[in-house]
This record gives sequence, C-alpha cells and structure tokens, in this order.
Amino acid sequence: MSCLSMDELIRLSLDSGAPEEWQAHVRDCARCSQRSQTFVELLRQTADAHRVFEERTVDGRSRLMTALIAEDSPPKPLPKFWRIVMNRRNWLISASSAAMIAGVIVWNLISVPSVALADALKKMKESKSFSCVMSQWDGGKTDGPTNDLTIKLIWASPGYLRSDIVVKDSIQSSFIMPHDSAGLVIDHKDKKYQVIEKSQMGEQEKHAANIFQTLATYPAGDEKPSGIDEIDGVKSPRFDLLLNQRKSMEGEWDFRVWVHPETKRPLRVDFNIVPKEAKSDVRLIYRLEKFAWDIKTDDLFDTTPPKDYRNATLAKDEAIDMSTKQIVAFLGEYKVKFGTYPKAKRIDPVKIGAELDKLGKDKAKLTTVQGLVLMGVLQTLSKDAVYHGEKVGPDDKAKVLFRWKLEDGKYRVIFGDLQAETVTMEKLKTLEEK
Amino acid sequence: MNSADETDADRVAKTLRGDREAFARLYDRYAKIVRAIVFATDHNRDACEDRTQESFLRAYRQLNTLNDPAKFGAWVAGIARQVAREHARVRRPPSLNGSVAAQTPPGLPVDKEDELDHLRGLVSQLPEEERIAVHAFFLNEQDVTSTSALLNRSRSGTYAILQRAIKRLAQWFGAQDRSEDAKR
Repeated sequence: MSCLSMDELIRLSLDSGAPEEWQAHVRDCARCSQRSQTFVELLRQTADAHRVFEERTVDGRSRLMTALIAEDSPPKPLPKFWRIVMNRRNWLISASSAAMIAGVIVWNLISVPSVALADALKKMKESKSFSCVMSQWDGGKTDGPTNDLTIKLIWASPGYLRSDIVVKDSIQSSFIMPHDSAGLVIDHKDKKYQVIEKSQMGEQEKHAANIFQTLATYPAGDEKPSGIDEIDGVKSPRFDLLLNQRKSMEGEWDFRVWVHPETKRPLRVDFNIVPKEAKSDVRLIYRLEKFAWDIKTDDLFDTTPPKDYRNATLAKDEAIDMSTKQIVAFLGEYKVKFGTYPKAKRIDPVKIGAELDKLGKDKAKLTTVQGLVLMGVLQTLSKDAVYHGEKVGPDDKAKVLFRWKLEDGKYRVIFGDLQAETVTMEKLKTLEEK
Repeated sequence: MNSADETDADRVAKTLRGDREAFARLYDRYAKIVRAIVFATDHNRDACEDRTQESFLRAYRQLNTLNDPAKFGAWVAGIARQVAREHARVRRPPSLNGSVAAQTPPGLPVDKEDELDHLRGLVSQLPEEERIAVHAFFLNEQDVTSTSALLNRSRSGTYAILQRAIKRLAQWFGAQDRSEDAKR
C-alpha cells in the first residue's frame, strides 16, 4: 500500500473507525507514522486549547440562576401550527399577502377580463371540491421552495377549507374550517387540539378561503394569455395580472395563473408577495400547484377531535387576555423605540414591521410581532376594530387608543397609558367622545 | 427519573413547567460550547461570560418557541452565534487565505499557554461551520455522534467538516509543513 495522503492521515487521527489497512500502514511505515504524529499532536493541542471553555461553569451557573429568579417562567409553548403561523417571517408574509389577497382577489380580480382565464375559473366553479399544494419560494429562485414546509389545501363547496401543514412529508398540523361552524386545529406531533370559533379563525386560513371562494365564483372575461410555459410537460397559457391595472406591462405581474389547454383548469397559481415598505428579503412567491379536482372529502372536514388527543383550547377569557397582552406589548415597544405610538388611522403590519426591522440589532420580541399583526388582522377583518393613534398618545391616559369588538358584543379597550378594560358599547361611546 | 436518563427534551419540558434547576442542567451541558462560540468575536474572558449569560437568558425567554426540544443544543448554539455577531467588534479579521501563521508577530508563541492562545485564535478564525464543528468535537470528548447532533449533520458530513478544519488549522499552525517534511 502506498503512503497515506494528508486527508487520510487526518481522518485516521479523528476517527478510530478508519480503515484497518490505513492503521496497519501507519504502524509499518516510519514516515507515515511520523506524519500521523503531527496531526495527533495538533489534535491533542486543540483539545488542550479547549479546556479553558470548560472553566467558570459553576460561577456562570450561579450567575444565571440569580438572573432567572427575576425572570417569569417561559411562556407555554404554542402548538406547532401556531408556532409556524406566528413565525415572524411568516407573519409578515401573511400580513402582506392578506392585504394583497384582499385587494387582488376580492376586489380587483373581478374587474380583470379574460376568456381563457374565465374558462379555467368556470371549471373551478363547476368543481365540487379540489386540493392543491401551497409552497413558498424566494422571489428570484427557480430551483425549489424556500423551505421544507408545504401546505396541502383542500377546498369543498360551499366553502369548507382544510389545510395540512407538511414538513418533510410528515403532517405536523391540520386546520379544519367548515363554512358554517367552529373549526379545529390539530397538532399531530404533540397530540393536541384546539377548537377555534369562527371569530378566531387565523389570518391565513381566512384569506386562503377567500382565494378559493373568489376563484371558484369568478365571472367571465376576455383576457389573452401573456405567454405559454411548460408545466409538468404541458404547454400551458399563462396569465400575468397586476394589481389595480387591467393589463400587465412586459414582465410585470402580481399574480399568475397557468391554465391546462385541454381541461381548462388551473395548473398553477403564483402570488408574488413584494410588500413595498418591507425589506427586500421578504420578497416571496406563494405557489399553488398539484391541483386535484372533485376529490372525495368524506371525513376531511369532520371536526370531531381525534381520539387520545388532548384538548388545548384556550378559554375565551384567556384568549382575550393573550390578545391584549400581545397588543400592549407591541404598542409599548413601539413607544419605547419611537417615543409615541404609530401615527396612523390603521395599523399596517408590513410597514411597521419594516420600521422595527430598520432598528437593526434590537429585534422585536415574538409577543411584539404577534401584537402588531393581530392589530392589523383585527382591523382587516372588522370595522369594529378602530385605532386612534393619530390623536391619542402615551399621555392620554383616559382616551381610547385601540378597541375591538368581542363575541358578546362588548368591546375590549386599550387606553393611551396601555391599560385595558372591557366595556359596554354605551360606555365606549362615552369614552370615545373624550 | 434518574438524572442520567434525563434528555434535553425532558429538561426543556421541566423548564417550561417552571423548574429553573432543569434549565441550569441545560446550562451545565452547553455553557462550554456557547462560551467557545462567543469567544470567536471577543477573546476577553469576562466579555465571553457576559455573552454566554446573555445567550442562555435569551434561550430561557424564548424557550416556548423551540420547535424540537431534543435539539436544544443546536438551538442555543444558534442563539450564541447571533449574540456573538451582534457584539462583534468592528474590526477586519486577518485574512484566512492560508497564511495566518505567517502573519503572526515574530516571537509568538513563546510558551505553552501562549501556544494554546495562539491555537484558540486560529480556531476562532476558521469558517463558522468548521469552527463550531471543532468546538463541538473537542468539548464533547471527541465524540462525533454528539458533534453531528449539534451540527444537524450526518456522521460522514461531520467528519468531512472536521477534516477540512483540521487541514486548515494544520496549514496555519505549520503542522502541515512538518508533516510534509516527514514525508520527504
């Protein structure tokens, strides 16, 4: 056997399971033995150099324990589903896509005419049910989704929606949203479930439902394809569509629909999420593809909790307290950083998220981000969620800064000094007259 | 449960139930790797202790966001990297193009402790993944299984990273020259 290479000698010094013939050679070859000793010695010295990091552990431990006494216990972990949904990046995207979807799908798409697109969506309308897979792609990338997470969406007439969050081919969570009753979030990993009232539906699910509902009820038009692309071996007309414009300029699009030339059904739908105020690194594409039509949905929308799963549903009061805590956390942090509250009529999570990001090192806490997005969501979903940041500041102790309506008809109010109270509609009127 | 059987996931679960001692046991296990990671950007021992403390406090406050409690080690190492980056001194590190040893002022290292300091300095200049692999390997009794768990890598992938790191260190440290002399 010839003398070992440097790589082989290093591997031999690192790995006692290296090939026996290497070991035998080093035993028999004086030169390789000497060379090997060089690396063995280097490893010994590197090990010695690391001993310093093992010192002070006892001192450090005492110091940490002292610091922990002043800390609250860590908050209870969120179910996996909500951890994914409440991920800061996902929230920003969600918030921006919410604005876009509300703008594009519900309002603007209706005014964009197209023949072939209309044909496709007519087919969609005729369908009783369908499923597709949603993935997230970086804006400029074409080599694969941004992460291992995909969401399988299943829609059925007249408005049922189920989403299964899949990570590396394993279902982590399911969200079942019937069109007319409470929904269910199932955390398969931790074997827990939460019942979600209609009023507590998540942002993404509501708008995903809007996408399908609107696509499925889209009226006819006469738009011509912007191009033809090959998708899964099928040459498919592509429709590039822009917000607030009837026709797209060359290369511009906010969302795209590819249609199968024979079945006339959508093969793929892309949403180009580029919030103007946000940092460029949140530019992403949400892609819907792998559509299947008229699928069997027998048990898919059953909201009976799975056997042996634990109920982790928050009581209503707990949910209200948590929401209040998140919103106060956001407003409080914004005040600390900027001296006052956002001066606006509406809370724009993308714009304010970008402002907070500009502060650089001192990143916002999760609770803060949740509060920010929650305010945006509440305002998007209900006209009863009102923000008075244009007129109310930190010194306006008794003035209403933000309020939203609760299920029982009362209002949750957060005042200028960030104290919170639940009040009747009559008392709210009095407070808002101040 | 016997403490020897206690896993990181158990310790995380206990911490989330309010058991601070369980978190201290996580500290006992991972303080050394966190200390080594933050050392890369500031060689001052007291500053390293501060960064280590900060890393664990952040971990404690964010523990509810940890997706996989069994991966606490890799997670807290990520927090330490972030803390280190935030506190990195504004200075350009020496070139890593293979001639670090040659840039060392003449006369250093002069004794054993200097030599170890010098070696720690070289390790801290390795590319991040190689550096963390070296720290994890040498702070876990040169056990590749623990190292690969911390790196979220396969065993073969971990060996490949370690091999690159040792080769680079040997080059910088002059060990490669001695090895090649022996070959000749």
